[in-house]
Amino acid sequence: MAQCQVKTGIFVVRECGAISGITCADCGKNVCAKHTRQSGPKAVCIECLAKSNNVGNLSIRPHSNRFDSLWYFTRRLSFFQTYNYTPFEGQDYDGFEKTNQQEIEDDNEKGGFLDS
Amino acid sequence: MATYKKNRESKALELFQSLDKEQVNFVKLRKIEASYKIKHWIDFFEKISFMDEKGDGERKKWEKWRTASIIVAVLFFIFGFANYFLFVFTFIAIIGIFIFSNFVAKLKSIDVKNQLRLFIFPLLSFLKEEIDQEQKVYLHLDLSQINQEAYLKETIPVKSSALPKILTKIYELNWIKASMQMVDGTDIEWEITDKVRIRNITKRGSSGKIKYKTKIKTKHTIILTSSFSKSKYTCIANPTEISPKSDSSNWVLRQKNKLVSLALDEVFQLEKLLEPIGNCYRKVKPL
Repeated sequence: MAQCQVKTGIFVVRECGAISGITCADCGKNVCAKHTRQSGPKAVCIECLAKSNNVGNLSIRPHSNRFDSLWYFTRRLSFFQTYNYTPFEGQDYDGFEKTNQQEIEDDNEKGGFLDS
Repeated sequence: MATYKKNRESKALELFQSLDKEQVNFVKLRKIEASYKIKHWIDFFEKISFMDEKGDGERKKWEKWRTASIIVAVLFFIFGFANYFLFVFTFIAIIGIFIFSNFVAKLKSIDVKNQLRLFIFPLLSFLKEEIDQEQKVYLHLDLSQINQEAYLKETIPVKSSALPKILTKIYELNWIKASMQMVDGTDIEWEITDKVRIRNITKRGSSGKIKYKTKIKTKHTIILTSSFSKSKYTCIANPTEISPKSDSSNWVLRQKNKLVSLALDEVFQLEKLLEPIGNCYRKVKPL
């Protein structure tokens, strides 16, 4: 089953991973319901909408005072662009996690009679 | 949960009456120190922020009505000497002044500094994805007015009786301190201290008139300490940038930024805190 490829986080970004049923009309990524938005007649991911939606407009605020996803993604994009910041990607940590798993599997191996 | 009463005068007062005990305490004292999960903090501040936003709007509205009532009262008082019937309107306007002043005073009593709804609440909402949801976030917050006796650090008295006279007062307040664990296991601690210099100047102008002026300068000091696990990161910073607090398990990096503003209650921008965190992350690399 396809998983949502929208990246969340600021300093360490990782994919949302929720079950996805939609593909973004702009970038082709798999998107979950939470990160899908309507842009005219097409369904896009919230990252594409943030890029097109007055990037850098820091005054975007929802009516309810709870800061919603669009505000978050727009603000995050503005921070990355203004400060020329590149976050770490989730896969940067994969090596470490696989190593750990490998170590656990090695520990579980049953040694032979003559093994020390 | 506090009992909820419909308040026709004000949406803000209605929201205040629906706050729980701890929220009411925070609004009255403007201080809190506790450790909660990030979701709890966001829920805690959300309602207070909304109440404060409503309150600020309503207070401005009632202040305008109060000013209008004062003008009407003065005008009808003057015209009343020509037609005594107009004094009735003066009396009505004076009642209006008292009523609107009462609303303004009530809303002022539940007013919280804009730092909460324009900086702290958005910051926590923004960092929500970055913070470990199961770990508690420590927060010490003091949103009291800095220019009061409790925070007075130094007074430089007037040097002589001749003009110009300058009275300088310096206030200092460590108004926010927080400690949180990020999803990658990194511990971030940060604090912001404000130092305010207020100078009351009395001088004689070129026309000979005595003039009074108040000059304010605020210095914000942001200190940020990040602890990166050595099992996940390698440090690519200069050795001089690594804190002596680093040990066998963690790289500890420290950032200190200073910002200056010429106002008393200027609201912090989110990026002023995100930038030093980002700078610390730039100095490490995942293994």
